[in-house]
Amino acid sequence: MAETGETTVIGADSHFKGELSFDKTAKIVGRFDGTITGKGELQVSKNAQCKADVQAGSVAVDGRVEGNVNVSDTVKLNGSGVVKGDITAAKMVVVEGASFMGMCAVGPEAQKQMSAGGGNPNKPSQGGGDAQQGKK
Amino acid sequence: MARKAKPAGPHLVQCYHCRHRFEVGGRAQSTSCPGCNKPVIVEDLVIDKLKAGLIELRTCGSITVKKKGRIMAERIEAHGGIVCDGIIEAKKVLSGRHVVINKTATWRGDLQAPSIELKLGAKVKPSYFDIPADPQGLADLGEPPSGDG
Repeated sequence: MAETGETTVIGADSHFKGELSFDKTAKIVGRFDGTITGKGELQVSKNAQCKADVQAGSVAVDGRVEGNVNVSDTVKLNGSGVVKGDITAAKMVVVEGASFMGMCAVGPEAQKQMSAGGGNPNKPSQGGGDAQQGKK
Repeated sequence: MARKAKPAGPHLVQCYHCRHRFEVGGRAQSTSCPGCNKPVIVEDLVIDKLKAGLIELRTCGSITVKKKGRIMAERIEAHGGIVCDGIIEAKKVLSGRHVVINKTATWRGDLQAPSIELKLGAKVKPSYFDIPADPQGLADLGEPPSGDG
C-alpha cells in the first residue's frame, strides 16, 4: 500500500458523487457513485460501496463494487469482496468467499483487445454481458 | 480419464436429473437414482487428456482437470467442485462446491458456483460468472468425503 500522503481517500462517512481521477493510489472507504479513472491502484475497503465504472492500473476489492471494471494489471477480489459488473484484466485473483456476478475476461488477450481500442471483450456484438441486466 | 480413490464411508449426493437426495457408499462410482431411476455418476473424475465432443459431463462428485487435460463440452456439472489446471471449454459449468482455477488453466464457459478461487496467471476467455451463496441448494449436503482410501 502506498503512503497515506500519496493516497486519495474517500472516507468512511463520505458519500461522493461524480468523477474521480487519480495517479497513484485511491481508497474508497465510504460510498462512491460515478466513474473512476486512474493509472495506479484503487482499493475498495471492506464496508465501502462503489457504484462506478472503474478504469485503473490495479484494483483490490474488499467491499462492494457495482459497475464495470477495466484494469491494465491485476484485479484482486478478496474474501469479503462483492462485484456486480463486467471485469476485464490482465491478471485476476479471486479469493474464496468473494462474490462476483458478471462477464469476466482475463489474460493478455483480453487486455490487448481492450488496449487496442477494440472495446470491452466482454461485449462482443450486441452489447450484452452487462451483469446488471441479470443474465442467467 | 482416471478415477480418484474414495473412502468407504457413505455420503449424501443429489441426483442431477431430479435433485433427489440419497446416500451412496464411499466407493460407489455410479448408481441409479431412487427418485427417478436414471443412472447417476457419483465418482470423482480426473481428466488428464483431451475429452472433446461431449454434450454433457455430469457427476455428483468432483472434476479435476490436470495440466494436460482438456474438456470440451456443452455442459459440465460437478456437485463436488472443480479444480482446473488444464483447459475447460463449455457453454455452461455448474459446480455445487468451490471452484479452483489454477495459474496454468484456461477457462471458457459461464460458471455458476458458490465460491471460486482464481489464481494469478489463469486465463479466462469472456464468460459470465455467477457466484451466489448457494446455486443449487447443495451447500447443506455436508463436506465431501476427504482423504484417499
